[in-house]
Amino acid sequence: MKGSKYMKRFLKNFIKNPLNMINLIIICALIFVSFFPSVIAPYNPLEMDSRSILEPPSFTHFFGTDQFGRDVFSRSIYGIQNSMIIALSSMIISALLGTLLGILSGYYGGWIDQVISRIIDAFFAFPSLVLALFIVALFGSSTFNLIIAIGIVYIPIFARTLRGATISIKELTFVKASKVVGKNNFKIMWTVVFPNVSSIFIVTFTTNFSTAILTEASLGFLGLGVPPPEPTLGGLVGQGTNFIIAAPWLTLLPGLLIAVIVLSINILGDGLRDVLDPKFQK
Amino acid sequence: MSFSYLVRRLLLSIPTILIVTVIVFVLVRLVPGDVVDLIIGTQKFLSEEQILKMYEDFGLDKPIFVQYFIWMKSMLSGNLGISLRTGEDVATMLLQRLPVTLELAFLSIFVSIIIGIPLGIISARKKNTFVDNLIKVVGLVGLSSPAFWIGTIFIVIFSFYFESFTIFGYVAFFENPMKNLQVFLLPSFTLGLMIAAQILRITRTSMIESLSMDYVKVAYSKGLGKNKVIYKHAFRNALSPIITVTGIQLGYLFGGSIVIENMFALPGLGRLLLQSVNQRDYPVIQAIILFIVIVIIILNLLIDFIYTIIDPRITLG
Repeated sequence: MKGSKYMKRFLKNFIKNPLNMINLIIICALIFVSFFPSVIAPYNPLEMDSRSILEPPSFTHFFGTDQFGRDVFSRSIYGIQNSMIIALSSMIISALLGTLLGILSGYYGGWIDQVISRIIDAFFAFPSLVLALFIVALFGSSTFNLIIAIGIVYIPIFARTLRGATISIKELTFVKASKVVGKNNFKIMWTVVFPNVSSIFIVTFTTNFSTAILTEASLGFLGLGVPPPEPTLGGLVGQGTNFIIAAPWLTLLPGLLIAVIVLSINILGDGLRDVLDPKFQK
Repeated sequence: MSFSYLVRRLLLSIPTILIVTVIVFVLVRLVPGDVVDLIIGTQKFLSEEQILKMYEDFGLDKPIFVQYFIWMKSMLSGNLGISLRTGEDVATMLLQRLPVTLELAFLSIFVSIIIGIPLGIISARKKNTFVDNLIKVVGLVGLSSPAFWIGTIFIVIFSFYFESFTIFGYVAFFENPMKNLQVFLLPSFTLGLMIAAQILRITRTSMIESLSMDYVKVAYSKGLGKNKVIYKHAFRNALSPIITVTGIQLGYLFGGSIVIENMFALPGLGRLLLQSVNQRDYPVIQAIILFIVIVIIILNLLIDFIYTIIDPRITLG
Protein backbone atom coordinates (compact mmCIF):
# COMPACT_ATOMS: atom_id res chain seq x y z
CA MET A 1 0.00 0.00 0.00
CA LYS A 2 2.80 2.37 0.97
CA GLY A 3 4.47 1.63 -2.35
CA SER A 4 1.51 2.63 -4.50
CA LYS A 5 1.11 5.93 -2.64
CA TYR A 6 4.76 6.64 -3.17
CA MET A 7 4.43 5.80 -6.84
CA LYS A 8 1.49 8.20 -7.22
CA ARG A 9 3.40 11.09 -5.67
CA PHE A 10 6.34 10.29 -7.87
CA LEU A 11 4.24 10.30 -11.05
CA LYS A 12 2.48 13.51 -10.06
CA ASN A 13 5.75 15.33 -9.53
CA PHE A 14 7.26 13.86 -12.66
CA ILE A 15 4.39 14.79 -14.97
CA LYS A 16 4.24 18.36 -13.64
CA ASN A 17 7.33 19.26 -15.64
CA PRO A 18 6.50 19.43 -19.39
CA LEU A 19 10.16 18.90 -20.28
CA ASN A 20 9.92 15.45 -18.71
CA MET A 21 6.99 14.57 -20.95
CA ILE A 22 8.65 15.69 -24.20
CA ASN A 23 11.69 13.83 -23.11
CA LEU A 24 9.73 10.70 -22.33
CA ILE A 25 8.55 10.65 -25.95
CA ILE A 26 12.17 10.82 -27.18
CA ILE A 27 13.12 8.00 -24.80
CA CYS A 28 10.21 5.86 -26.03
CA ALA A 29 11.31 6.50 -29.62
CA LEU A 30 14.82 5.50 -28.63
CA ILE A 31 13.61 2.25 -27.10
CA PHE A 32 11.48 1.52 -30.18
CA VAL A 33 14.42 2.16 -32.54
CA SER A 34 16.65 -0.07 -30.44
CA PHE A 35 14.21 -2.96 -30.67
CA PHE A 36 13.01 -2.52 -34.26
CA PRO A 37 15.69 -0.72 -36.29
CA SER A 38 14.52 -2.42 -39.48
CA VAL A 39 11.14 -0.66 -39.26
CA ILE A 40 12.77 2.79 -39.30
CA ALA A 41 15.89 2.27 -41.41
CA PRO A 42 15.05 2.70 -45.13
CA TYR A 43 18.11 0.78 -46.38
CA ASN A 44 20.26 -2.16 -45.40
CA PRO A 45 23.04 -0.60 -43.27
CA LEU A 46 25.74 -2.76 -44.87
CA GLU A 47 24.62 -2.45 -48.49
CA MET A 48 27.12 -0.60 -50.66
CA ASP A 49 26.14 1.37 -53.75
CA SER A 50 28.94 2.53 -56.01
CA ARG A 51 26.60 4.90 -57.90
CA SER A 52 25.93 7.10 -54.87
CA ILE A 53 29.16 7.81 -53.02
CA LEU A 54 29.55 10.65 -50.47
CA GLU A 55 26.18 12.14 -51.38
CA PRO A 56 25.01 15.04 -49.21
CA PRO A 57 21.79 14.66 -47.19
CA SER A 58 18.65 14.54 -49.33
CA PHE A 59 15.13 13.11 -49.22
CA THR A 60 16.36 9.74 -50.46
CA HIS A 61 19.29 9.67 -48.01
CA PHE A 62 18.43 11.74 -44.90
CA PHE A 63 21.99 11.71 -43.56
CA GLY A 64 23.72 11.38 -46.96
CA THR A 65 25.92 8.45 -47.96
CA ASP A 66 29.45 7.39 -47.01
CA GLN A 67 32.51 6.54 -49.13
CA PHE A 68 31.01 3.15 -50.01
CA GLY A 69 27.62 4.57 -50.87
CA ARG A 70 26.04 3.17 -47.71
CA ASP A 71 23.05 5.07 -46.31
CA VAL A 72 24.31 6.90 -43.20
CA PHE A 73 20.82 7.29 -41.71
CA SER A 74 20.21 3.54 -41.79
CA ARG A 75 23.68 2.95 -40.40
CA SER A 76 22.97 5.42 -37.60
CA ILE A 77 19.70 3.69 -36.73
CA TYR A 78 21.43 0.32 -36.47
CA GLY A 79 24.27 2.11 -34.68
CA ILE A 80 21.80 3.25 -32.03
CA GLN A 81 20.79 -0.35 -31.52
CA ASN A 82 24.40 -1.51 -31.13
CA SER A 83 25.30 1.36 -28.81
CA MET A 84 22.22 0.78 -26.65
CA ILE A 85 22.87 -2.95 -26.37
CA ILE A 86 26.44 -2.34 -25.24
CA ALA A 87 25.65 0.51 -22.86
CA LEU A 88 22.66 -1.24 -21.29
CA SER A 89 24.36 -4.63 -20.86
CA SER A 90 27.43 -3.06 -19.31
CA MET A 91 25.28 -0.95 -16.99
CA ILE A 92 23.51 -4.10 -15.83
CA ILE A 93 26.86 -5.71 -15.02
CA SER A 94 28.13 -2.68 -13.10
CA ALA A 95 24.80 -2.15 -11.35
CA LEU A 96 24.63 -5.78 -10.15
CA LEU A 97 28.23 -6.08 -8.98
CA GLY A 98 28.58 -2.49 -7.77
CA THR A 99 25.37 -2.59 -5.76
CA LEU A 100 26.29 -5.93 -4.22
CA LEU A 101 29.76 -4.69 -3.21
CA GLY A 102 28.43 -1.33 -2.00
CA ILE A 103 25.69 -2.79 0.19
CA LEU A 104 28.02 -5.50 1.54
CA SER A 105 30.69 -3.03 2.53
CA GLY A 106 28.27 -0.46 3.91
CA TYR A 107 26.26 -3.02 5.87
CA TYR A 108 29.08 -5.02 7.42
CA GLY A 109 31.67 -2.26 7.85
CA GLY A 110 34.92 -3.37 9.51
CA TRP A 111 37.55 -5.22 7.53
CA ILE A 112 35.12 -6.22 4.76
CA ASP A 113 34.45 -2.54 4.17
CA GLN A 114 38.18 -1.73 4.31
CA VAL A 115 39.12 -4.36 1.72
CA ILE A 116 36.27 -3.55 -0.66
CA SER A 117 36.77 0.19 -0.29
CA ARG A 118 40.50 0.08 -1.03
CA ILE A 119 39.95 -1.96 -4.18
CA ILE A 120 37.11 0.33 -5.25
CA ASP A 121 39.33 3.38 -4.59
CA ALA A 122 42.00 1.91 -6.84
CA PHE A 123 39.57 1.30 -9.70
CA PHE A 124 38.05 4.71 -9.11
CA ALA A 125 41.40 6.35 -9.75
CA PHE A 126 41.30 5.17 -13.38
CA PRO A 127 39.53 7.66 -15.66
CA SER A 128 36.61 5.74 -17.17
CA LEU A 129 37.78 6.07 -20.77
CA VAL A 130 41.37 5.13 -19.85
CA LEU A 131 40.31 1.96 -18.03
CA ALA A 132 37.88 0.90 -20.76
CA LEU A 133 40.50 1.57 -23.42
CA PHE A 134 43.09 -0.40 -21.43
CA ILE A 135 40.84 -3.46 -21.14
CA VAL A 136 39.76 -3.33 -24.77
CA ALA A 137 43.37 -2.81 -25.87
CA LEU A 138 44.47 -5.90 -23.98
CA PHE A 139 41.66 -8.27 -24.88
CA GLY A 140 40.64 -6.99 -28.29
CA SER A 141 37.57 -5.08 -29.36
CA SER A 142 34.49 -7.24 -29.75
CA THR A 143 30.96 -6.50 -28.60
CA PHE A 144 31.42 -8.90 -25.68
CA ASN A 145 34.74 -7.37 -24.56
CA LEU A 146 33.30 -3.87 -24.82
CA ILE A 147 30.41 -4.82 -22.56
CA ILE A 148 32.78 -6.34 -20.00
CA ALA A 149 35.18 -3.38 -20.19
CA ILE A 150 32.54 -0.68 -19.78
CA GLY A 151 30.81 -2.86 -17.17
CA ILE A 152 33.95 -2.98 -15.03
CA VAL A 153 34.51 0.76 -15.42
CA TYR A 154 31.24 1.73 -13.74
CA ILE A 155 31.30 -0.78 -10.85
CA PRO A 156 33.13 1.62 -8.47
CA ILE A 157 30.55 4.39 -8.93
CA PHE A 158 27.68 2.09 -7.95
CA ALA A 159 29.69 0.60 -5.10
CA ARG A 160 30.60 3.97 -3.63
CA THR A 161 27.15 5.51 -3.94
CA LEU A 162 25.32 2.48 -2.58
CA ARG A 163 27.82 2.06 0.25
CA GLY A 164 27.15 5.61 1.39
CA ALA A 165 23.39 5.13 1.13
CA THR A 166 23.53 1.86 3.07
CA ILE A 167 25.61 3.39 5.87
CA SER A 168 23.11 6.22 6.20
CA ILE A 169 20.15 3.91 6.77
CA LYS A 170 21.63 0.91 8.54
CA GLU A 171 21.44 2.49 11.98
CA LEU A 172 17.76 3.36 11.55
CA THR A 173 15.20 1.64 13.75
CA PHE A 174 13.50 -0.46 11.08
CA VAL A 175 16.78 -2.04 10.01
CA LYS A 176 17.76 -2.76 13.58
CA ALA A 177 14.27 -4.12 14.24
CA SER A 178 14.62 -6.68 11.45
CA LYS A 179 17.77 -7.88 13.16
CA VAL A 180 16.02 -8.22 16.47
CA VAL A 181 13.23 -10.18 14.81
CA GLY A 182 15.93 -12.62 13.76
CA LYS A 183 16.16 -12.13 10.01
CA ASN A 184 19.52 -13.19 8.62
CA ASN A 185 21.87 -10.56 7.23
CA PHE A 186 21.41 -11.42 3.56
CA LYS A 187 17.64 -11.29 3.91
CA ILE A 188 17.90 -7.89 5.60
CA MET A 189 20.17 -6.57 2.85
CA TRP A 190 17.85 -7.76 0.12
CA THR A 191 14.42 -7.08 1.62
CA VAL A 192 15.10 -4.11 3.92
CA VAL A 193 18.23 -2.26 2.84
CA PHE A 194 17.94 -2.48 -0.94
CA PRO A 195 14.31 -1.26 -1.25
CA ASN A 196 15.26 1.74 0.89
CA VAL A 197 18.25 2.71 -1.23
CA SER A 198 16.51 1.86 -4.51
CA SER A 199 15.73 5.49 -5.37
CA ILE A 200 19.44 6.30 -5.19
CA PHE A 201 20.09 3.18 -7.23
CA ILE A 202 17.72 4.36 -9.98
CA VAL A 203 19.30 7.82 -10.12
CA THR A 204 22.83 6.36 -10.25
CA PHE A 205 21.78 3.97 -12.99
CA THR A 206 20.28 6.69 -15.19
CA THR A 207 23.05 9.26 -14.80
CA ASN A 208 25.76 6.71 -15.50
CA PHE A 209 23.89 5.13 -18.37
CA SER A 210 24.39 8.35 -20.33
CA THR A 211 28.12 8.48 -19.60
CA ALA A 212 28.40 4.79 -20.54
CA ILE A 213 26.97 5.71 -23.95
CA LEU A 214 29.60 8.45 -24.25
CA THR A 215 32.39 6.08 -23.23
CA GLU A 216 31.27 3.52 -25.81
CA ALA A 217 31.01 6.26 -28.43
CA SER A 218 34.50 7.56 -27.60
CA LEU A 219 35.97 4.06 -27.95
CA GLY A 220 34.16 3.69 -31.26
CA PHE A 221 35.47 7.07 -32.37
CA LEU A 222 39.04 5.96 -31.55
CA GLY A 223 38.54 2.84 -33.66
CA LEU A 224 38.38 0.53 -30.64
CA GLY A 225 34.65 -0.11 -30.68
CA VAL A 226 32.67 -2.85 -32.37
CA PRO A 227 34.76 -3.86 -35.39
CA PRO A 228 33.55 -2.73 -38.86
CA PRO A 229 31.43 -3.09 -40.93
CA GLU A 230 28.95 -3.20 -37.98
CA PRO A 231 27.86 0.40 -37.38
CA THR A 232 28.00 2.17 -34.01
CA LEU A 233 27.37 5.88 -33.55
CA GLY A 234 30.89 6.64 -32.26
CA GLY A 235 32.42 4.53 -35.00
CA LEU A 236 30.45 6.41 -37.67
CA VAL A 237 31.78 9.74 -36.41
CA GLY A 238 35.33 8.36 -36.22
CA GLN A 239 35.30 6.94 -39.74
CA GLY A 240 33.67 10.10 -41.01
CA THR A 241 36.54 12.30 -39.83
CA ASN A 242 38.57 11.12 -42.83
CA PHE A 243 36.12 13.04 -45.00
CA ILE A 244 35.49 15.89 -42.63
CA ILE A 245 35.96 18.62 -45.25
CA ALA A 246 34.54 16.80 -48.28
CA ALA A 247 31.56 15.30 -46.45
CA PRO A 248 31.02 16.88 -43.02
CA TRP A 249 27.56 15.26 -42.68
CA LEU A 250 29.26 11.91 -42.09
CA THR A 251 30.49 13.13 -38.72
CA LEU A 252 28.09 15.92 -37.78
CA LEU A 253 24.78 14.04 -38.09
CA PRO A 254 25.61 10.80 -36.22
CA GLY A 255 27.35 12.97 -33.61
CA LEU A 256 24.18 15.03 -33.26
CA LEU A 257 22.25 11.80 -32.64
CA ILE A 258 24.62 10.85 -29.81
CA ALA A 259 24.18 14.29 -28.27
CA VAL A 260 20.38 14.08 -28.47
CA ILE A 261 20.28 10.58 -26.95
CA VAL A 262 22.65 11.46 -24.12
CA LEU A 263 20.83 14.75 -23.54
CA SER A 264 17.46 13.07 -23.18
CA ILE A 265 18.83 10.46 -20.81
CA ASN A 266 20.47 13.24 -18.78
CA ILE A 267 17.19 15.16 -18.60
CA LEU A 268 15.47 11.97 -17.47
CA GLY A 269 18.20 11.52 -14.87
CA ASP A 270 17.84 15.09 -13.62
CA GLY A 271 14.05 14.70 -13.47
CA LEU A 272 14.30 11.42 -11.57
CA ARG A 273 16.86 12.92 -9.21
CA ASP A 274 14.67 15.93 -8.42
CA VAL A 275 11.82 13.61 -7.56
CA LEU A 276 13.64 10.71 -5.91
CA ASP A 277 16.75 12.07 -4.25
CA PRO A 278 15.92 13.42 -0.80
CA LYS A 279 18.79 15.92 -1.12
CA PHE A 280 16.98 17.66 -3.96
CA GLN A 281 13.51 17.63 -2.46
CA LYS A 282 12.14 20.87 -1.15
CA MET B 1 45.08 21.72 8.62
CA SER B 2 46.12 19.14 11.07
CA PHE B 3 49.34 17.35 10.44
CA SER B 4 47.89 13.99 11.42
CA TYR B 5 45.26 14.28 8.70
CA LEU B 6 47.92 14.96 6.11
CA VAL B 7 49.85 11.90 7.19
CA ARG B 8 46.74 9.68 7.31
CA ARG B 9 45.57 10.81 3.90
CA LEU B 10 49.03 10.14 2.46
CA LEU B 11 49.16 6.71 4.07
CA LEU B 12 45.71 5.81 2.74
CA SER B 13 46.77 6.59 -0.80
CA ILE B 14 49.65 4.11 -0.60
CA PRO B 15 47.44 0.97 -0.63
CA THR B 16 45.41 2.57 -3.43
CA ILE B 17 48.53 3.09 -5.54
CA LEU B 18 49.73 -0.44 -4.75
CA ILE B 19 46.40 -1.96 -5.78
CA VAL B 20 46.52 0.11 -8.97
CA THR B 21 49.92 -1.37 -9.82
CA VAL B 22 48.57 -4.88 -9.13
CA ILE B 23 45.55 -4.24 -11.37
CA VAL B 24 47.74 -3.00 -14.23
CA PHE B 25 50.28 -5.81 -13.76
CA VAL B 26 47.67 -8.57 -13.60
CA LEU B 27 45.58 -7.26 -16.50
CA VAL B 28 48.60 -7.08 -18.80
CA ARG B 29 49.59 -10.63 -17.85
CA LEU B 30 46.07 -11.93 -18.48
CA VAL B 31 46.51 -11.23 -22.17
CA PRO B 32 46.85 -14.43 -24.15
CA GLY B 33 50.49 -14.70 -25.22
CA ASP B 34 53.39 -12.97 -23.50
CA VAL B 35 56.16 -10.58 -24.45
CA VAL B 36 58.27 -13.39 -25.86
CA ASP B 37 55.43 -14.57 -28.11
CA LEU B 38 55.11 -11.03 -29.37
CA ILE B 39 58.81 -10.78 -30.18
CA ILE B 40 58.79 -14.22 -31.79
CA GLY B 41 55.92 -12.91 -33.86
CA THR B 42 58.07 -10.07 -35.20
CA GLN B 43 61.39 -11.96 -35.48
CA LYS B 44 61.23 -15.46 -36.86
CA PHE B 45 64.08 -18.01 -36.95
CA LEU B 46 64.86 -18.00 -33.23
CA SER B 47 66.33 -21.20 -31.83
CA GLU B 48 64.81 -23.05 -28.87
CA GLU B 49 67.73 -21.91 -26.69
CA GLN B 50 67.36 -18.27 -27.64
CA ILE B 51 63.67 -18.42 -26.75
CA LEU B 52 64.41 -20.00 -23.36
CA LYS B 53 67.04 -17.34 -22.75
CA MET B 54 64.50 -14.66 -23.54
CA TYR B 55 62.09 -16.12 -20.96
CA GLU B 56 64.90 -15.89 -18.42
CA ASP B 57 65.86 -12.36 -19.44
CA PHE B 58 62.31 -11.14 -18.99
CA GLY B 59 61.99 -13.10 -15.73
CA LEU B 60 59.03 -14.98 -17.16
CA ASP B 61 60.32 -18.31 -15.82
CA LYS B 62 59.70 -17.15 -12.24
CA PRO B 63 56.42 -17.34 -10.26
CA ILE B 64 54.03 -14.49 -10.97
CA PHE B 65 54.37 -12.73 -7.60
CA VAL B 66 58.16 -12.76 -7.91
CA GLN B 67 57.67 -11.23 -11.37
CA TYR B 68 55.53 -8.54 -9.78
CA PHE B 69 58.25 -7.58 -7.30
CA ILE B 70 60.93 -7.51 -10.01
CA TRP B 71 58.62 -5.32 -12.08
CA MET B 72 57.87 -2.96 -9.19
CA LYS B 73 61.55 -2.67 -8.35
CA SER B 74 62.45 -1.61 -11.85
CA MET B 75 59.45 0.77 -12.01
CA LEU B 76 60.50 2.45 -8.77
CA SER B 77 64.03 2.92 -10.06
CA GLY B 78 62.58 4.78 -13.04
CA ASN B 79 63.10 1.93 -15.49
CA LEU B 80 59.76 1.67 -17.29
CA GLY B 81 61.04 -0.83 -19.84
CA ILE B 82 61.63 -0.45 -23.56
CA SER B 83 59.16 -0.17 -26.39
CA LEU B 84 58.58 -3.48 -28.18
CA ARG B 85 58.31 -1.67 -31.50
CA THR B 86 60.97 1.01 -31.50
CA GLY B 87 63.33 -0.21 -28.76
CA GLU B 88 63.21 3.28 -27.23
CA ASP B 89 63.30 3.80 -23.48
CA VAL B 90 59.68 4.15 -22.34
CA ALA B 91 60.49 6.73 -19.63
CA THR B 92 62.13 8.98 -22.22
CA MET B 93 59.15 8.60 -24.57
CA LEU B 94 56.79 9.59 -21.74
CA LEU B 95 58.81 12.64 -20.77
CA GLN B 96 58.94 13.80 -24.39
CA ARG B 97 55.15 13.66 -24.77
CA LEU B 98 54.21 14.91 -21.33
CA PRO B 99 54.53 18.70 -21.95
CA VAL B 100 51.95 18.55 -24.75
CA THR B 101 49.37 16.82 -22.57
CA LEU B 102 50.08 19.10 -19.63
CA GLU B 103 49.64 22.19 -21.77
CA LEU B 104 46.36 20.84 -23.14
CA ALA B 105 45.16 19.97 -19.63
CA PHE B 106 46.14 23.34 -18.21
CA LEU B 107 44.51 25.33 -21.02
CA SER B 108 41.34 23.22 -20.92
CA ILE B 109 40.90 23.70 -17.19
CA PHE B 110 41.52 27.42 -17.70
CA VAL B 111 38.84 27.59 -20.42
CA SER B 112 36.38 25.59 -18.32
CA ILE B 113 36.83 27.83 -15.28
CA ILE B 114 36.49 31.14 -17.13
CA ILE B 115 33.31 29.86 -18.80
CA GLY B 116 31.80 27.71 -16.06
CA ILE B 117 32.12 29.84 -12.94
CA PRO B 118 30.78 33.19 -14.27
CA LEU B 119 27.85 31.48 -16.00
CA GLY B 120 27.10 29.49 -12.85
CA ILE B 121 27.10 32.66 -10.73
CA ILE B 122 24.86 34.54 -13.18
CA SER B 123 22.51 31.56 -13.27
CA ALA B 124 22.31 31.43 -9.47
CA ARG B 125 21.74 35.19 -9.14
CA LYS B 126 18.94 35.10 -11.71
CA LYS B 127 17.47 31.85 -10.38
CA ASN B 128 14.31 30.67 -12.17
CA THR B 129 14.38 33.44 -14.78
CA PHE B 130 14.72 33.11 -18.54
CA VAL B 131 18.49 33.69 -18.34
CA ASP B 132 18.84 30.96 -15.73
CA ASN B 133 16.84 28.47 -17.79
CA LEU B 134 18.85 29.32 -20.89
CA ILE B 135 22.13 28.78 -19.06
CA LYS B 136 20.79 25.53 -17.58
CA VAL B 137 19.92 24.23 -21.05
CA VAL B 138 23.33 25.28 -22.40
CA GLY B 139 24.94 23.42 -19.50
CA LEU B 140 22.94 20.27 -20.11
CA VAL B 141 23.70 20.35 -23.85
CA GLY B 142 27.39 20.86 -23.11
CA LEU B 143 27.32 17.91 -20.73
CA SER B 144 25.64 15.66 -23.28
CA SER B 145 27.65 16.45 -26.39
CA PRO B 146 30.54 14.09 -27.04
CA ALA B 147 33.84 16.01 -27.14
CA PHE B 148 34.73 14.51 -30.52
CA TRP B 149 31.51 15.86 -31.99
CA ILE B 150 32.15 19.39 -30.69
CA GLY B 151 35.68 19.05 -32.07
CA THR B 152 34.41 18.16 -35.54
CA ILE B 153 32.04 21.12 -35.48
CA PHE B 154 34.98 23.41 -34.67
CA ILE B 155 37.12 21.88 -37.39
CA VAL B 156 34.36 22.24 -40.00
CA ILE B 157 33.57 25.85 -39.03
CA PHE B 158 37.18 26.96 -38.90
CA SER B 159 38.23 25.26 -42.10
CA PHE B 160 35.30 26.76 -44.02
CA TYR B 161 35.18 30.26 -42.58
CA PHE B 162 38.67 30.99 -41.21
CA GLU B 163 40.93 29.59 -43.87
CA SER B 164 44.08 31.29 -42.58
CA PHE B 165 43.64 29.70 -39.14
CA THR B 166 46.07 26.87 -38.38
CA ILE B 167 44.11 23.94 -36.96
CA PHE B 168 46.71 21.20 -37.23
CA GLY B 169 50.49 21.21 -36.98
CA TYR B 170 51.92 21.20 -33.47
CA VAL B 171 54.75 23.62 -32.65
CA ALA B 172 56.47 23.72 -29.26
CA PHE B 173 55.67 26.77 -27.14
CA PHE B 174 59.27 27.99 -26.92
CA GLU B 175 59.73 27.67 -30.66
CA ASN B 176 56.79 29.83 -31.64
CA PRO B 177 54.46 30.84 -28.76
CA MET B 178 51.78 32.46 -30.94
CA LYS B 179 51.50 29.53 -33.29
CA ASN B 180 51.56 27.12 -30.37
CA LEU B 181 48.62 28.86 -28.68
CA GLN B 182 46.75 28.98 -31.99
CA VAL B 183 47.14 25.22 -32.44
CA PHE B 184 45.98 24.63 -28.86
CA LEU B 185 42.97 26.96 -29.09
CA LEU B 186 40.44 24.56 -30.60
CA PRO B 187 41.57 21.46 -28.68
CA SER B 188 41.45 23.23 -25.32
CA PHE B 189 38.01 24.71 -26.04
CA THR B 190 36.73 21.31 -27.18
CA LEU B 191 37.97 19.60 -24.05
CA GLY B 192 37.20 22.55 -21.78
CA LEU B 193 33.53 22.93 -22.76
CA MET B 194 32.37 19.68 -21.23
CA ILE B 195 34.22 20.38 -18.00
CA ALA B 196 32.79 23.91 -18.10
CA ALA B 197 29.30 22.39 -18.16
CA GLN B 198 30.05 20.38 -15.01
CA ILE B 199 31.57 23.40 -13.26
CA LEU B 200 28.61 25.57 -14.31
CA ARG B 201 26.11 23.13 -12.81
CA ILE B 202 27.87 22.77 -9.49
CA THR B 203 28.59 26.52 -9.25
CA ARG B 204 24.90 27.24 -9.71
CA THR B 205 23.72 24.73 -7.10
CA SER B 206 26.37 25.72 -4.63
CA MET B 207 25.87 29.48 -5.11
CA ILE B 208 22.08 29.18 -4.70
CA GLU B 209 22.68 27.42 -1.42
CA SER B 210 25.19 29.89 -0.13
CA LEU B 211 23.16 32.94 -1.25
CA SER B 212 20.29 31.74 0.93
CA MET B 213 22.45 31.58 4.04
CA ASP B 214 22.09 33.92 6.99
CA TYR B 215 25.57 35.39 6.67
CA VAL B 216 24.61 36.72 3.24
CA LYS B 217 21.58 38.44 4.73
CA VAL B 218 23.77 39.81 7.50
CA ALA B 219 26.27 41.11 4.95
CA TYR B 220 23.48 42.85 3.04
CA SER B 221 22.00 44.35 6.20
CA LYS B 222 25.44 45.66 7.13
CA GLY B 223 25.04 47.72 3.96
CA LEU B 224 27.70 45.99 1.88
CA GLY B 225 27.46 46.36 -1.90
CA LYS B 226 25.89 43.60 -3.97
CA ASN B 227 29.10 42.62 -5.70
CA LYS B 228 31.05 42.50 -2.50
CA VAL B 229 28.48 40.25 -0.87
CA ILE B 230 28.31 37.94 -3.84
CA TYR B 231 32.00 37.58 -4.55
CA LYS B 232 33.56 38.05 -1.14
CA HIS B 233 31.02 36.26 1.04
CA ALA B 234 28.80 33.93 -0.97
CA PHE B 235 31.23 32.77 -3.64
CA ARG B 236 34.03 32.04 -1.23
CA ASN B 237 31.73 29.80 0.75
CA ALA B 238 30.48 28.08 -2.37
CA LEU B 239 33.97 27.27 -3.52
CA SER B 240 34.67 23.88 -1.93
CA PRO B 241 32.12 21.84 -3.91
CA ILE B 242 33.29 23.63 -7.06
CA ILE B 243 36.85 22.53 -6.39
CA THR B 244 35.72 18.96 -5.70
CA VAL B 245 33.94 18.75 -9.03
CA THR B 246 36.88 20.33 -10.85
CA GLY B 247 39.09 17.72 -9.18
CA ILE B 248 36.87 14.86 -10.31
CA GLN B 249 37.09 16.27 -13.83
CA LEU B 250 40.87 15.78 -13.88
CA GLY B 251 40.22 12.13 -14.63
CA TYR B 252 37.92 13.08 -17.46
CA LEU B 253 40.59 15.47 -18.68
CA PHE B 254 43.12 12.67 -19.18
CA GLY B 255 40.52 10.40 -20.80
CA GLY B 256 39.36 13.22 -23.02
CA SER B 257 42.91 14.13 -24.01
CA ILE B 258 43.23 10.73 -25.71
CA VAL B 259 40.34 11.65 -28.01
CA ILE B 260 41.32 15.29 -28.49
CA GLU B 261 45.03 14.70 -29.12
CA ASN B 262 44.19 12.15 -31.79
CA MET B 263 41.63 14.38 -33.34
CA PHE B 264 43.88 17.44 -33.53
CA ALA B 265 47.13 15.52 -34.14
CA LEU B 266 48.81 16.75 -30.95
CA PRO B 267 51.83 14.57 -30.08
CA GLY B 268 50.97 14.05 -26.38
CA LEU B 269 50.53 11.05 -24.09
CA GLY B 270 47.03 10.30 -25.35
CA ARG B 271 48.21 10.02 -28.93
CA LEU B 272 51.15 7.87 -27.88
CA LEU B 273 48.75 5.67 -25.91
CA LEU B 274 46.47 5.07 -28.89
CA GLN B 275 49.43 4.41 -31.20
CA SER B 276 50.79 1.88 -28.71
CA VAL B 277 47.37 0.27 -28.38
CA ASN B 278 47.15 -0.14 -32.13
CA GLN B 279 50.66 -1.64 -32.22
CA ARG B 280 50.10 -3.79 -29.11
CA ASP B 281 53.16 -2.20 -27.49
CA TYR B 282 52.40 -3.37 -23.93
CA PRO B 283 55.31 -1.81 -22.01
CA VAL B 284 54.33 1.62 -23.32
CA ILE B 285 50.59 1.10 -22.68
CA GLN B 286 51.27 -0.13 -19.17
CA ALA B 287 53.59 2.76 -18.34
CA ILE B 288 51.24 5.47 -19.64
CA ILE B 289 48.21 4.05 -17.83
CA LEU B 290 50.11 3.69 -14.58
CA PHE B 291 51.49 7.19 -14.94
CA ILE B 292 48.07 8.76 -15.58
CA VAL B 293 46.43 6.97 -12.65
CA ILE B 294 49.18 7.83 -10.17
CA VAL B 295 49.14 11.48 -11.29
CA ILE B 296 45.38 11.56 -10.70
CA ILE B 297 45.74 10.08 -7.21
CA ILE B 298 48.40 12.67 -6.34
CA LEU B 299 46.36 15.55 -7.77
CA ASN B 300 43.32 14.48 -5.75
CA LEU B 301 45.50 14.45 -2.66
CA LEU B 302 46.64 18.00 -3.44
CA ILE B 303 43.04 19.13 -3.92
CA ASP B 304 42.17 17.84 -0.46
CA PHE B 305 44.90 20.02 0.96
CA ILE B 306 43.85 23.04 -1.07
CA TYR B 307 40.42 22.82 0.60
CA THR B 308 41.76 23.67 3.97
CA ILE B 309 43.56 26.70 2.62
CA ILE B 310 40.45 28.01 0.90
CA ASP B 311 37.97 27.11 3.57
CA PRO B 312 39.43 27.63 7.04
CA ARG B 313 36.32 26.09 8.61
CA ILE B 314 37.46 22.68 7.46
CA THR B 315 39.93 21.15 9.86
CA LEU B 316 40.20 17.75 8.33
CA GLY B 317 40.84 14.80 10.57
